Amino acid sequence: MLTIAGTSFRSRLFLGTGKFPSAGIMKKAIEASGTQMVTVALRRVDLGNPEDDIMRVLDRKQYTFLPNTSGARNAEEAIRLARLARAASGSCWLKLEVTPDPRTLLPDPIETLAATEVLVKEGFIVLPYMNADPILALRLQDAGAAAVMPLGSPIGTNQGILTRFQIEIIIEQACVPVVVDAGIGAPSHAALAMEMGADAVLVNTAISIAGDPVAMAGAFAKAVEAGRTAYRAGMGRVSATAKASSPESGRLSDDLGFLA
Amino acid sequence: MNIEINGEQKTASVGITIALLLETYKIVPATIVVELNNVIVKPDTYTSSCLSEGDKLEFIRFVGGG
Repeated sequence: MLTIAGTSFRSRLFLGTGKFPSAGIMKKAIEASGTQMVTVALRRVDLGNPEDDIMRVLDRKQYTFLPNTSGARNAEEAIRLARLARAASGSCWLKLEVTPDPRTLLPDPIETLAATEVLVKEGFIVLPYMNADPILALRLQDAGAAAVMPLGSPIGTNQGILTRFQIEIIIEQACVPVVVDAGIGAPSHAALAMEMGADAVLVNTAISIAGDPVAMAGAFAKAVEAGRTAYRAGMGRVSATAKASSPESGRLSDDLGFLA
Repeated sequence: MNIEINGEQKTASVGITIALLLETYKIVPATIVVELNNVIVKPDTYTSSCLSEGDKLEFIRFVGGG
């Protein structure tokens, strides 16, 4: 079982709640995924449509809510959003996200580290979204991050795990759970992350924009489980040369020279 | 008096409370968090917090996000 900051999770699939075609489909997809952790964002209330409230369809007792600081461009904005999130949720869980460039939405490592240091001191359970930088992962861990969340590829791109070798180093070195976040576009990408030894994956776009988000959520659940089981079973070594699967001795060619 | 809500200029009666303002906009208090001039307001003070000219309010809530 996965444990982050003293809370245990049976499911290693975390779900984002953005961009679903409706609140009803989102609820069903969350159920189909088996997830126990969902991310949410904070935005201004639409004064013209004040009843639009995502939380009414989600059972807050059933899931750990992980509010994000999306939209923050620097540490100061992220800290302000974090405090609002805590006031709104009554919980200290936080996905720290600092993305100054709207074109790439890549995380700012310096501002992310600075915000982590402040928020950990304020008692937040900080899960920082980060580029797949093994040194930064150690720095965030030292600053008190409860987990690290390196990206597979930029947010919402569905490009999969383009940072494989860096994530492998992060997994090898980290003392805190590693959650691969962003860019996971297909169940096979999630399976790969889990086979590599990631502790969990966070998926949003690949499920929410699928033709059938509920079915896709189920597919991701299976992939994450398969990848985790494979990791625990011990993956075979990769080799540059062929290794026969069938026995080398007792071949017909040993007796029947013409087959040699 | 003039106040600002979520970046929009609004007019409200002098001394209106946050609770009354939320009622006016048909916002259920339990679903949101309020910031007044960059400071988070505790829900149990919504009925006693009177607003002044030029106050800046933010009504924030959770939405879907990744």
